[in-house]
Amino acid sequence: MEKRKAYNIRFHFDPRTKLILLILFSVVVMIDVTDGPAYVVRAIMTYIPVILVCLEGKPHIGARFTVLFIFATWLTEVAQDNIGGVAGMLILFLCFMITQFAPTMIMVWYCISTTKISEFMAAMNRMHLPQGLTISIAVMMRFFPTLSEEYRAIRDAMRMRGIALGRGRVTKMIEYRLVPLLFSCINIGDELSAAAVTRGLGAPVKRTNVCEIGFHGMDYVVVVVTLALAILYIYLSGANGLV
Amino acid sequence: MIEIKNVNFRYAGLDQAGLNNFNLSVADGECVLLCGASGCGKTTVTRLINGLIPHFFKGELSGEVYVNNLEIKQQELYNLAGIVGSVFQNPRSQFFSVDTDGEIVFGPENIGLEKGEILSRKEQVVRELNLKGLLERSLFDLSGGEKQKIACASVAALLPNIIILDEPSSNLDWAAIRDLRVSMQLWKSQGKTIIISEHRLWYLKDVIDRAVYMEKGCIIKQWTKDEFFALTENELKAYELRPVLLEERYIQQFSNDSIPADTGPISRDIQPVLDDSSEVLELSNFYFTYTPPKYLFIKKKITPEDEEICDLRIPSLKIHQGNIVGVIGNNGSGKSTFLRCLCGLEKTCIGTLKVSGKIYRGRQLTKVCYMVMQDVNHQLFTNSVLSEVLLSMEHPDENEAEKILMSLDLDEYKEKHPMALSGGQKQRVAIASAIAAKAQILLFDEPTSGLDYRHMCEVADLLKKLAVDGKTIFVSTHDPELIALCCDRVIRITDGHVTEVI
Repeated sequence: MEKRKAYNIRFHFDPRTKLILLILFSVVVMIDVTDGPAYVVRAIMTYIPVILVCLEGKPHIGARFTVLFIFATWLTEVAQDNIGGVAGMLILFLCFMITQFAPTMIMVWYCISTTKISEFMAAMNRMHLPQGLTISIAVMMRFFPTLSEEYRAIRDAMRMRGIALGRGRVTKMIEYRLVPLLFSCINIGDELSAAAVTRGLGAPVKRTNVCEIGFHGMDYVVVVVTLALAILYIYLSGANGLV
Repeated sequence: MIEIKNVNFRYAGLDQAGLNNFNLSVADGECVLLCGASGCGKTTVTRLINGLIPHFFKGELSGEVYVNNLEIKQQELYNLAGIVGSVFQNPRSQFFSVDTDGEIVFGPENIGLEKGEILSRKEQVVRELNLKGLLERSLFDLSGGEKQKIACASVAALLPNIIILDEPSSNLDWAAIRDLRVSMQLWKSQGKTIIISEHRLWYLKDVIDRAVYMEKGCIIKQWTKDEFFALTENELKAYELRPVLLEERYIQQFSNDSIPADTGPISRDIQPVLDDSSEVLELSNFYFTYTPPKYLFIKKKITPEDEEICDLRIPSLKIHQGNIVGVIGNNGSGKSTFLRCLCGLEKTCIGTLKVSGKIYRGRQLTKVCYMVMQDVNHQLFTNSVLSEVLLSMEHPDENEAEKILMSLDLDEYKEKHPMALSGGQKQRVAIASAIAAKAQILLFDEPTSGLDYRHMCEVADLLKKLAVDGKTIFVSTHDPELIALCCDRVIRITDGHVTEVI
């Protein structure tokens, strides 16, 4: 436990660092390379979010991803040469999802799950973004877990009734999920805003934030490394004539 | 000092209870209970004081409301934040942060206090309400009681003189209600004014100074503390109030104290005594864990040998068919897990259920068992009550459906949208669809939380009626009154075991 805590302190990144990483990864995902030196750079970059997640005490995600990544890379090679037609396309597409998109998704998951709302709001304040925008995004972050809680309850209720598949009709399947979800979200949203305004949200003063945020050594290291890799990657893929 | 003078209020566009020529004055440091049936206007009164009326809920308002000599109408809500603090009914929907620390400082941050001041207030509140163990946790991982504690802390951090609580115990278990009482006693000793609207009355015995009884938006009667707690059972029944004093045996049934941790191992896996008179329902090997050991991609299938790691561990349980079984235990003890496993929602639960010679397991359980959830809004899907019932039938038959609706007094609403009904009616629609699905075993997850006495009695009568029709019923509850009204058997679940049968 002690040891894990130490890790957390060492890699407690500033929310702005995470934002920069996210942007860099989104750029890299746009450029698609399947071989050559650029691919090596990309593979290295792929492992940045994986390592971060492992350090958060989730090594099993890293292990699973590694197995999938190696398998998908191998399968891409095989499928390109041997499997044609629709099946080949489908396999290539799935492999592509794993090798190209999964790292970014892991990154997104990492950023969201390790950032507290108050930290995020503090970071937005430092960047001098308008308070209305900050609060709106904060409410969204607060709402996602609620949405998934509500959705799970509704899915359970549907399973109990044996209508999880909408009795074979796609429109019903969606309707049965959305209608109760909308109703409960409206209710929760109302109660939530009532609670928030009685606690002074919306006062015309500058909101304080007690959260300690700031750039430290590791923030610089991870940003510089990722930035260097991203530039190298863009340069190499450009040299391959793929941009 | 709170002064409400000649207030009339109607909600705009909402079919909620308003107020008729309402007058109330509360002295500083007084603790006043608002009681009365659902829809009597209790909540409306609390909203007048914290300013949600007229600033958040719109409607026709006449009359005057003064809090600390400020007229509420003239104030902005954020000015009231440091004066009136509000704790609401639903612990799930009153926190704004996702972590406990952020929630406690949320209010002070909003009104722009200095950082040092905020941190010292936080420290003070954490010490006073004894919250050390809850810091740095995700609010989504807390139990309802713990969430309510954080809500209290978040309100207290604004140092309001007046604290409003609107049915704060509705979703809490026995232990959490006691904690709530401790918080209220602390506030009282600090000289704060407290207004509480509540159906559960027993826990307020040493807290309140005055009780106000309301009907249809008017005050009908007021009692001092001593008069109120001296009311006899019949007088309370006449006012349709829940008991103010609970008998000793209920307290023993429900409190933690009846099973002191240090008197050696608790007895486990007790079997109810059965006679041979009626058919028996047999549960066996109900083992389940939320965190099964994982291999790289697959989860290990658990067996009874994995008891150590299980969240639910009931090797065998026999119940008479047609009984009403109360399921009690603190939050987190495995009550809900038990119900979820029994109705087939947890696929990895390895338990089997034997009903009239047939054995059901896993998914098949959804065919015989049906759970009426605590929040029934989650299980109503269609746009009319009738189609809701038809949806559950394997072969939709309108005559049959109408018969079911008739038996539950729902026939006059059959064309209405389920979401337009009251809470109790929605619950009955859910029951109607369970009957239509030919479920033999009905599970109720806290069906009476937040209900007033009359509605609780209605639920109890309904359960008895279903039992007479041959349904077996499991009902998890924190209401000793409900158990007294209708249960044939009570099983207590502690740490996933059945530890007591009454």
